[in-house]
Amino acid sequence: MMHKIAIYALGGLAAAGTLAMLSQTEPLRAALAMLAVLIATAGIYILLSAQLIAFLQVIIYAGAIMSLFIIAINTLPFAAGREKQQRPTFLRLAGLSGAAILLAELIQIALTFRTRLDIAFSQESVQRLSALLFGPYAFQFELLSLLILAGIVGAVAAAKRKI
Amino acid sequence: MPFEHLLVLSFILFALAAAGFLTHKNTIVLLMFAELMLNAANLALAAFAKLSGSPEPQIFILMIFAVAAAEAGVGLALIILLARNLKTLDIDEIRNLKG
Repeated sequence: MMHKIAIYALGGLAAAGTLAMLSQTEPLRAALAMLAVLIATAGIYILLSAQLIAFLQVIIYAGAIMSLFIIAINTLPFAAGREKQQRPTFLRLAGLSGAAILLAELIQIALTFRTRLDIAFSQESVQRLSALLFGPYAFQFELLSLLILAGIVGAVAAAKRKI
Repeated sequence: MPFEHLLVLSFILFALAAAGFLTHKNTIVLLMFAELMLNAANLALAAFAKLSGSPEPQIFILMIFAVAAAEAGVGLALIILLARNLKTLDIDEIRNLKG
């Protein structure tokens, strides 16, 4: 029962944070709202007994990626100010209605599921995850390091040269 | 708890992030909304992992983490480069490819 209430509360917090981000015109405040969304999602992961994922969410998303964003916002002189004006009204309406249609269709799909979830902690989820990660998925795991390496090289190359 | 409620939550987060992606102008904020869309997909995967009882979907979440980190790094490098050259972050003013 407590688990259920906590999941609904954290889900509401995440949705409210995204809404706050949506209505925000200052990038730094949007970044802080995004931080709230990410940490609320990490809480939901813990309640779904995905402990490792929750900690990685806090370390990688809320720690590394968000600090990158905040550094970028603070280094670029014209990034920190308000967006001067919003996009033209018809573009905004088109974007919002597109997102609304997407949401309606996705919820339609979701409501065709009729399954119940039993929310109880499983203790050994990290062991099982790492047995999979370093067993059948070892090759894919190594490919990820190649992706990160390509990302580092790309970022350094892009930052050095002029267009 | 009904499984579809978690899916609906994930879809609501995805659609809100998509709405932000389609309506905002600042390129850095656009990148942040793209990350939030990945985050919503992760939530659905975590729900599926709980439903199936096997941690296999969580491996996909780990891979999405790595992709998101690489995307943020390269994307921000490109945005800083663009901003340095064009002196703007406004997505509506960056229209060189349109001629």
